[in-house]
Amino acid sequence: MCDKNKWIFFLTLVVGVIFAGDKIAVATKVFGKAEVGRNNPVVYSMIKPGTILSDGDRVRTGSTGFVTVIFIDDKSALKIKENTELEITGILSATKINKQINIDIGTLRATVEKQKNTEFVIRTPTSVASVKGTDFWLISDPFTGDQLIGLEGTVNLLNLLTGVSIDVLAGYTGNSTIDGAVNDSETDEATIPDDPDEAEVESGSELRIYLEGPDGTQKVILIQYQ
Amino acid sequence: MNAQITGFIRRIITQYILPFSLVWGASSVDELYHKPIQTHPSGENIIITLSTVGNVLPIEGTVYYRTSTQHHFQEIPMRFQNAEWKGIIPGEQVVAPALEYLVILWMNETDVIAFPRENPFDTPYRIIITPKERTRQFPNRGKTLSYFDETVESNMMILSPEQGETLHRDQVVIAVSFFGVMELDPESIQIVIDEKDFTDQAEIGSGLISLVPKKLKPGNHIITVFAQNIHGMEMIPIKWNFNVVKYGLDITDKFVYDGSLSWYLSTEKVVGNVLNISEVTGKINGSLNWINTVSNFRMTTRETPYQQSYNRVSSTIKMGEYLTVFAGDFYPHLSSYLIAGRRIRGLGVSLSFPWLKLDIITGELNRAVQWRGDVNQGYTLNSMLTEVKEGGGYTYFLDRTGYTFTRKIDTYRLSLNYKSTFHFGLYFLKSADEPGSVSQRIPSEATFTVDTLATGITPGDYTFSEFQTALAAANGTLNFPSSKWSGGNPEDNLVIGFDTKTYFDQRQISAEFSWNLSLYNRNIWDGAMSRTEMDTTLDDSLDGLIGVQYDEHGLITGTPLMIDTTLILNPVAYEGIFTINPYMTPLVPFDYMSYEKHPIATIINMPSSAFHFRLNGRYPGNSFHLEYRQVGPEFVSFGNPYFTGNIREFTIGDRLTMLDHKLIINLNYKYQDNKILRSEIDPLRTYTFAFGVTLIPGQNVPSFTLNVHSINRNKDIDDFGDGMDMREQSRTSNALFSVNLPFEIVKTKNTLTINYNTVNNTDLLSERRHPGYIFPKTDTKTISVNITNRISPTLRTIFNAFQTEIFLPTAIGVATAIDNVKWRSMGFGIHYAMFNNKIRFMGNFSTLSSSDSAGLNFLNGKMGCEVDIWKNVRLRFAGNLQLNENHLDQTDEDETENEPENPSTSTWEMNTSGLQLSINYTF
Repeated sequence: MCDKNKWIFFLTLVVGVIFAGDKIAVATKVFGKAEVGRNNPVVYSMIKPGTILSDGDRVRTGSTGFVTVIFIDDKSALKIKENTELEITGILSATKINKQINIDIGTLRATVEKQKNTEFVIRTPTSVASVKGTDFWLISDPFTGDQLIGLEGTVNLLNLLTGVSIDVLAGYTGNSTIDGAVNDSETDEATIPDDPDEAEVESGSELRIYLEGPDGTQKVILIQYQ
Repeated sequence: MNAQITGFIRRIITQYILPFSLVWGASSVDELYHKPIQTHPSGENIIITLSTVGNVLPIEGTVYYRTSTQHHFQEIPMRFQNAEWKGIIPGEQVVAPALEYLVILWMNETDVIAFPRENPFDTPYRIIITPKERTRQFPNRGKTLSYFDETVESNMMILSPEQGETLHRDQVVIAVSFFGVMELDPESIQIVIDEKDFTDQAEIGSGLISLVPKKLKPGNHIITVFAQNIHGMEMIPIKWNFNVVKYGLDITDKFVYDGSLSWYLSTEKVVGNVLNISEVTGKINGSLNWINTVSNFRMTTRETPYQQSYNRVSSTIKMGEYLTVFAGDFYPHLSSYLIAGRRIRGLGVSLSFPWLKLDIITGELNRAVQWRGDVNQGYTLNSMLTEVKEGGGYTYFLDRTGYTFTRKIDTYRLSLNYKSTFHFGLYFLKSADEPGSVSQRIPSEATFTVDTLATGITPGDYTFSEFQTALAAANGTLNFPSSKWSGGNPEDNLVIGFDTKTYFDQRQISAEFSWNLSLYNRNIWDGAMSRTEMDTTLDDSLDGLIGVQYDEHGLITGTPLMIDTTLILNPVAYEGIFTINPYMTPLVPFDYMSYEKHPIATIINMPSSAFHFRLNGRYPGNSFHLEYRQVGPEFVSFGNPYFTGNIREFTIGDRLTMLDHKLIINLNYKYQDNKILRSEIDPLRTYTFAFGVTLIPGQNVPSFTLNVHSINRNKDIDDFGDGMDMREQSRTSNALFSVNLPFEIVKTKNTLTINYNTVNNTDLLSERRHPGYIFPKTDTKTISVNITNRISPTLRTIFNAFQTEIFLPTAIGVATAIDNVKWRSMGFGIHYAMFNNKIRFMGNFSTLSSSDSAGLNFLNGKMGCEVDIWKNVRLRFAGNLQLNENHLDQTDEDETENEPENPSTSTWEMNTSGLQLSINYTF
């Protein structure tokens, strides 16, 4: 019985090594519940900051979860909000990664660096978004459809039912519904999701001096200057 | 302590001392032993050792050494320890390819012994310096590279943290990519934070360095990443800094904010009606480490007291992970059976812990609207009820219309979560109109029409005071009730329910169940009924018993329930929770007669209940869905008025993705009917089967989509007498084929999309219909073509055209025919950006025409321009115009026979037009 377990362990290790995907991204920020699923059948474990993601890894977040994922070839970033489930895939060439995100449900923000002869595609149950270099939010619901909110650049949004596609520009929201409709309209600011990791805008500049007492209490001297 | 030996000292030792020493030292050398070093790794200290065997004791020793690039020797004093003389050549001097050394030992003031014995300065020992073994020791990395150091660019990319970024102590992740960096030796990578080596804590490989450093102190930190190429050449290190703060304690933490402010102005003219709108909208987000706020507002000129509010003001405050407060206008979603999608103006609190969540919402669904602002939209004179009163004159009946009650809502939801594998939620909704929120008397400008049936008063539009004056003059009296107006009854609603969800197989399968019950009262003008009223309402006789029927002799008939009214709850006591009176639905939650025979079915099929069971599976490449849902015909929730009632449906579907998600196959089956109540004898059954296949091989290659729906409807009516034939046994076939073809012509990227869609309806009862029966379903056939062109990064165009054929069944006498109508449209749009995308023009032109007798023709044009007039300020200007062609019959008196009959001319008229201007500022 012991030998059998060893063989199973050995085979699992070998199979795991053979089928382990290429490393393509790293999780840099994690809040709340977030898990990564690997292997086949998929086994989920908690994502921690610094977790390296490989081709074929699945990421899912709980009701308070948030994960920032950065791709290693061009620093394109995915910010995955709560109640989201997706698969990250990437085909490596010598210097670039053809990236494809298969999102089943949820909300994400994609900040995509300019793609040179590579693909960045996000597939939902309803649509395919092809990206060249842009910043946008995607809210996907398999029962209603997709909402793509353009923040920068242009995203091509194609409906899988009808094959109709539109280019969603910055400041516009593209809708792709499960009944095949695709349209866009000017973005209502109130519909833009909140980014927990939003880059801040500050007035002026500041100098911070961090002091820590013997009990570990931290004090900060903040000097703001123009 | 080592010093460069001068040529003078070297000459003295060589020419004057060593020749004598050789004579003296002949016996001493045998008692001193040195084993020359042959090879040594670079960068590591070399220890030169001489062992003493006998009684010979030198008084001083020196090691002389030089690297292969040095002409002069350097000296290092030796020390006597444990019967050995030792001299250490420092590691930084030990560099490839070789190092030469010799040892001079002074036996006394004049005698020396040298190693090597013969001409030590001319033929010193030679050590081959080998490249250092790959260990994670980098003694040289701290030095500053000089101009003369041979280095190469590293091209490593910082992924995290950003330069100068402030991070919480538990969120520090250092990630550097060397993916695609040519000839970088991963083994040579060294990560230094604040001059401390963290390389051993890092994960290095596959083009990525990932490091989660343990316990970095708050403050500023400097990271340096060193690396060499595979030839051993040092790459230029990358260096950056970041700040670490303690979570939650740094109250002076950075307050960050952003937001936007927009002003929108539009004027629209639609068939002669002008509508001007001005709106100001804004959003501001602010956050500290532990608190986030999001505030939105919209102020619009569409706001009017005659309708529900168009203005919106809302604020969400999120404190950590545990508490969220919503204030103002917000759209909660607690359950689709409870509240989903309805705007609430009020307050919401969500308290969330890992195992428990409590949601409390209180506010208004509707605000009170007293009247609609138009004639007869506040008061209505019911002339038909005008009566002659005793003593002469008339009594007139005035009524109130055009109002909306304040509708209050309170909802609560308590959710339990066990290890994220089992969820249970219990919820409750109470919503009711406030009859007192609408006044009997409304503003004096409200007018109503007095028509000719109101005898005695001159017809016309009157305000209330004007009517009173007229009334006095006509010796009339007014009957104006203080409640129970015809404009609508106040209502009451109560919903309770629960939902549960659990997961299986690594959370890849979820199973959920929800059950809900509503109580609805469509008229609470009179409030709750008393026990006496309940007695007579439920069995017609006031006997203190419910469920007892009597015959004409006063004898009990049938099998009575005989429930003593004093033993059941007093509706008046529970009026604060729900108003129980004869207008409530259901009056009895379920059919107690049926309950005895089919208790489970009776409970499940309660007309005011709604429930579903849902199973979702989400595996890689395969997602399936199975659901049974039933909503009773009397289920009502004010929180979700759009809920479709009287429906029973079963759905099963599967979605397969293959070929790396490039081939997608959808299969779906749905059965639906409305036979929840036994009383429904002619239910409509619908069977829907859907199949779809999509192939999207990749970017810049054609993609194909085929979707087929088959919908069978069946409504059997055995005997419909002489009335309309309401039977239905039909099949609707819907097929859609789409091809998306990207292609490139002369550096112009284009996409051609062709869609073909048909809808065909078949009456399966056609052979059993009466002559002249028109099957009331319309077939359609649509083909559309879209071509999008990206001529340059700044110029894009789109061309589209479609034709829809509609086959409309019509009656010609007793015969039926198919009327064929075609709609055609063509359009062209352009988008052009200039001045580095700071100015963007948009234009669109399209036509729409029909082939029927009306011959409708429309021309549409839209133009717009967006200008980034400042860094964060955007100006947008747009206009639209629609013209339609009017055909005018020309009846010329002197028309001749040669001219066609009913010649017509046409004119083009402006149908709609509009201008929009907006300014958006983001900060």
